[in-house]
Amino acid sequence: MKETKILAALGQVDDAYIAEAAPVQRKRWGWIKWVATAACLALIVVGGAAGVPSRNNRGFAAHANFAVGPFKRRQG
Amino acid sequence: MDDQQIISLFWARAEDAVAETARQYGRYCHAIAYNILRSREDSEECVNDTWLRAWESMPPHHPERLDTFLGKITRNLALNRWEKSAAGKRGGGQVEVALEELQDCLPTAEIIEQAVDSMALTAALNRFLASLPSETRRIFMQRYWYLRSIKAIAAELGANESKVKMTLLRARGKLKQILEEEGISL
Repeated sequence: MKETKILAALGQVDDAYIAEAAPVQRKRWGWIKWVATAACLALIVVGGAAGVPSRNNRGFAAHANFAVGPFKRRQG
Repeated sequence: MDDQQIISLFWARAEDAVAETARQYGRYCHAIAYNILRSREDSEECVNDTWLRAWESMPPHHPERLDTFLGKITRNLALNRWEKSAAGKRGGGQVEVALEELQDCLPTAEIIEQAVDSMALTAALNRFLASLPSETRRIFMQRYWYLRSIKAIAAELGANESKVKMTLLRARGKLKQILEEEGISL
């Protein structure tokens, strides 16, 4: 069959054309992308919650563990 | 491990060669076979046959690119398998078997003539591909080398299906023109 001849001959074309058209394989890393997105969202939520000022403190700077350098709290 | 290191393993007849090849190019070759055969089991067999062929052909071969070298083997094997199964459905398998047996009777001159025709056709296809814009060439190759669906090609390129179909139609027209101009008869 003539079509089969074209299909077979096409199989032997230059490697550069075969490599250029190689389909992009994304599936394998799909789950990593979702896990990374979820982790980033979780960090934003947790970080945001920790940074919100309340009646008892004024966010991170008011907490002893985070008060460093020129912002260090006076003890007593 | 890069291609040349894997090829060195083949040349050294190290068994790791097949395992490393399967790890790096298993999915690539499986995708090629699956596009043609649409059967997971047949595709796996085809890929395993590819490793065997690679083992048998290196040495003496020392390909510059391992991906396309393996891809070509897989594509050939998958197309042969597909052809046999299509022929089997048409003629209960016996016609195909009989034709294959009769191929042994072909005179050597005719086999050489067929090979020369095939080489001339491949050379014309190379010229045709070189004349295409990059995107058109990718679409053409994805369709007729990788045997991908129009839908899959459109999705990967972020284009709609009608654009892909139109591009292929024009490319086929151009190929027909080139083959006629070069006097290549099929």
